[in-house]
Amino acid sequence: MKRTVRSIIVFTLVLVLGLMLVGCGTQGKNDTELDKKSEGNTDEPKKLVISIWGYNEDKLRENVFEPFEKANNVEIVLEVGNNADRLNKIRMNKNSEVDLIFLAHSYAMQGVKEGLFEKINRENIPNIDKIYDIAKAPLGEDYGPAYTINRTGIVYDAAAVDKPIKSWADLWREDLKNSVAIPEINTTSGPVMVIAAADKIGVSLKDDYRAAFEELKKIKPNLVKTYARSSELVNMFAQGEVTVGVAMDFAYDSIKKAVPTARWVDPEEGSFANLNVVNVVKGTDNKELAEKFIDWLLSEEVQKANALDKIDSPVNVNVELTEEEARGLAYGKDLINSLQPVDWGYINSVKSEWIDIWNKEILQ
Amino acid sequence: MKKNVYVYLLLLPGLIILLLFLAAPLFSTVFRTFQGNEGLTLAKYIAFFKDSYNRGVYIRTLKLALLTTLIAVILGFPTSYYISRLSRRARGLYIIFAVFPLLTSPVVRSFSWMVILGKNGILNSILLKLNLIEEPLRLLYNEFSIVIGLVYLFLPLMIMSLVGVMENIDEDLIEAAESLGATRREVFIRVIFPLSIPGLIVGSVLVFTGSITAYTTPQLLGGSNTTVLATLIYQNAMSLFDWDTASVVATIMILTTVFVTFLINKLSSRLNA
Repeated sequence: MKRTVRSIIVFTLVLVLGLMLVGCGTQGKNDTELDKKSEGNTDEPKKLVISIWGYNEDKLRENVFEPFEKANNVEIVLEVGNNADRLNKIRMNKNSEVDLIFLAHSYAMQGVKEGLFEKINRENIPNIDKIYDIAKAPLGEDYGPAYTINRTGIVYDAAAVDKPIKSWADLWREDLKNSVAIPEINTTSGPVMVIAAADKIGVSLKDDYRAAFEELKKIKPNLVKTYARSSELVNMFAQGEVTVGVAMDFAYDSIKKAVPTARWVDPEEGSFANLNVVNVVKGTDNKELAEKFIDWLLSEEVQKANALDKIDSPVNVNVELTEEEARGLAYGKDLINSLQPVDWGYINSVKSEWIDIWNKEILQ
Repeated sequence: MKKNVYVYLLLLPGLIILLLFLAAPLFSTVFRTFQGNEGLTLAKYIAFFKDSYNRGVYIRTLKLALLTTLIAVILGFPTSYYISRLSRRARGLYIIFAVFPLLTSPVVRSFSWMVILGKNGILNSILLKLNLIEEPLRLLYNEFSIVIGLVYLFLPLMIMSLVGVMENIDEDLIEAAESLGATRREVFIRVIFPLSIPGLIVGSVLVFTGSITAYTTPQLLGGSNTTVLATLIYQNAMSLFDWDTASVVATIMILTTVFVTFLINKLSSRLNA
């Protein structure tokens, strides 16, 4: 009996090890087969793997991916997910196939800090000269540009709120009791509430963020909920749970469809800017192709098409839109210049304390 | 004897997969939480529980999960008994109905509860029309709505576990008890209930585990002051990339689940005695 049990254990171990070896072996074999294929047959399209959110995939395919595939004999493969998931993926798996990654500014900064991105050669991306200065090098000259800007402002239902909302400070107004939704601190637009609170009482965030949180505490009677996804906010407006919300501009169109009396406000102090940036992932075999793709993404043609479909606000200064076409987008020099930048480098460095205070003071 | 050994061989495929893909990663998650600068330590756990905020979140999560389990037992038991006594055909149909909530995504489910429980929702409109209340009740974004969402989500697991056991209770046993003079109530308490306990254990463990680890439902239906353990894990892992703290919270969840499972087992063996 003992012996059989022992032999079973040995057998298991051998099997597990064997399976691992077989796994590695076949992978190696596949690689060489692929290599041979690409050497022998030049018509075989190259593969470009892009890590992106997954919103509006159909329209992006039509406007961006398909034309690029045809022009360059490339097959574009998407990996979709939220910022954190996708950043984690390339961090955990240094041999991942991902060539290009789209991220919000704060997450991209994290990626730069950890050395996950390839340095780009700006000469291969001439269209960078045609975009707004704010978008050219948000992560420094070595890394990728922003291809779109969105902004965080305020949406309110004009039929339910008597006095128009004009500034960030209005969110603290007494007549808005139990009617406001703000984003969760760990979302892209979350930290702007802390900045707005600091502005309201005129303190510098870096000197005294605790004072800002004290001020933010006073907004609690007005809060219905802190939300984690834009779809939640849209739903809360649709169900009449809230009449005021701090929102990113791309959510406005959906809110307006649900509540026709909803209005977008760029507060007097300025809406907050968020840049979505695109970077080449370290270890890619397709660096030049990836840079070519970035150039294509910044071209007037793509930027205009995406703007017309209301997917992304254009950063290319040559894109011209009518007033109707620009509704809901961060468009035009004046507006772009009015936006308040967010210092993500600083926020990332204090985020862990901020989340702690937020949990204990704002959520309790 | 020999035969028995070959039976063990049948365990191998499952065992290998579990070892490779479950036990190994789980071990590495749990192990790192005990690692300190000098050998093994409980420091991270002490730090976690020293914080009164964390204790509050822990107690809230436990409370919500236990409440959900209790309600699922109370609602699930009679339903399962009814289903288990139906003809084979009708049983299949009812089970499909019971499992229906599991077929949609948690996001859709939660959004539909917002439509029902909201300020202008179905429930409030009815109550207002009947003049039972003067202004809408706050039913959403609190612990009440989380429990409702969780019960709705996990009740099918309770029902499935109970029906599986109850349909195997021999009709003859019930008849025998009745012929010996037991009233219906006595039959239920002394025959049906004890025989259903294995299903009750499985169902309770499934519902409890599901509720204590739930993330989406508390996130969507909960309000500002209803943070649960899963939210803490998400914050630490996904926004702070602090895998150590996330692992600590995860280990606390695992240990709690194991402990409660143990308690449920103990409790039911006492009931059975």
